[in-house]
Amino acid sequence: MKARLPAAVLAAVLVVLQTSAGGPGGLFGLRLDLLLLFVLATGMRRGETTGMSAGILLGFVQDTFSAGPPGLNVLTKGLLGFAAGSLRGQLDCGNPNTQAIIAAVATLAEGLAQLALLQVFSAAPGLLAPLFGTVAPAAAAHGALLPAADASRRAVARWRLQRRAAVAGA
Amino acid sequence: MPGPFFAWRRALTLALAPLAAFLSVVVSGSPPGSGALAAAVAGAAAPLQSGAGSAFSWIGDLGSSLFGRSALRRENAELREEVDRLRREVQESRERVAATARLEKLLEYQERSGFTLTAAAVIGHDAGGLYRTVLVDRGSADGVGNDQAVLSPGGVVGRVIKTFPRSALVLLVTDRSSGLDALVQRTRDRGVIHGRGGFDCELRYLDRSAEVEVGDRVVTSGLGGQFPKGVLIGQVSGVTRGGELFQSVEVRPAAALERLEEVLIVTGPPAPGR
Repeated sequence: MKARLPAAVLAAVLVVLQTSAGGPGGLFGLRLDLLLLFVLATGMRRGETTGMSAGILLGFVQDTFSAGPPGLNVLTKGLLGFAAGSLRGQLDCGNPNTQAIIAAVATLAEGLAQLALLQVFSAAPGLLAPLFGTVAPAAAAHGALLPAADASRRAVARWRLQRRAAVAGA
Repeated sequence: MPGPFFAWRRALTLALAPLAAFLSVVVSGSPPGSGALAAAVAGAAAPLQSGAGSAFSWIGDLGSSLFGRSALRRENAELREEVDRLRREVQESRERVAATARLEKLLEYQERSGFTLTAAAVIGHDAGGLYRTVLVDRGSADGVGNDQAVLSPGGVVGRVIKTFPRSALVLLVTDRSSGLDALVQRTRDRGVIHGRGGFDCELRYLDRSAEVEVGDRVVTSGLGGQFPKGVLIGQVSGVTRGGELFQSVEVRPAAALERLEEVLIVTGPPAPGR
């Protein structure tokens, strides 16, 4: 429980950032999905069940603050969290290149799935224009962001370990 | 090699996502966002979002202050401190003056329009990537309801699509799924304003023979009853007459949608006698 607290705090901070940073057009015109990156990272680190749980919870929050139909992000983020967790045993998820590819492919897959579902429910904001104008640039940015975020996390973890060792040594 | 129990467990876990999606549709209520859980989530997040909005504004102010300070590095420490203090004061004063000017404009518009308008501050935007919406700090507790028109002194902003007790989600006119009946003010030709997902809109279903020119003002037609008639939507920025039945007209919104800070929500009809 104690170990999950920092992750829960980080998720809450990401929710606030996701809805507050930048304008309605995104940050510098880029519509990043920080919650998707968190779900993927959680799945790759903690496995299928935790990844899916994070996806379902954050998907619900995202649906609440989005114009799309309810359940859309719950479904896609839940499945992507599960998929990221299932890749943990098959790929080297600690490798930055793997992380970049997973983030980019997951973003494209989520965008495509959501746009396809929106077409079915007649609530589509178009297909090709948002795919190339919003989803593809976000996929490229996510591919760079996820390895960078993971490297930062590792650096913080290393620093904490060193500090603990120094305290223990003293 | 995982056993059959493990495979079943995986399949069951995987089935949780569609189930959760279905449950979230149920708990989101009808209209979406009216459910108790969604309202609780929105209620819990609203103060954080409002605080984050102020924090980002403060960071922006700090950034400009630091930028100014870099030019004064060669000055001595006392002078630098004094200049910084003065700059902060000037910045704060400017912010106050700008806020007063914006609020004066809102008040003036409110009096001029005659409609019952509720002023709201923008505290966030769409959490997903596919829609263009803003989150405002007024909700059902303040009389805000779904489909109410949202305006700014510049022109039309959009309409309310989700309401929570203390906040509401507004779909901007530039969103691809937004549609609004409109008139070209000079020629009185009618069409439908659709968002393009970027910074512009498109006036669709405008007869090919309509003599629309760049610079023409496009206003709300009042049809549908959501928007008051004659409110400025934007100006024509481009006209393409192809071989089709209708012409394609680009419209640049009059309201500064990317820099919205306050909006007015039409919460009621004009007062009697106006």
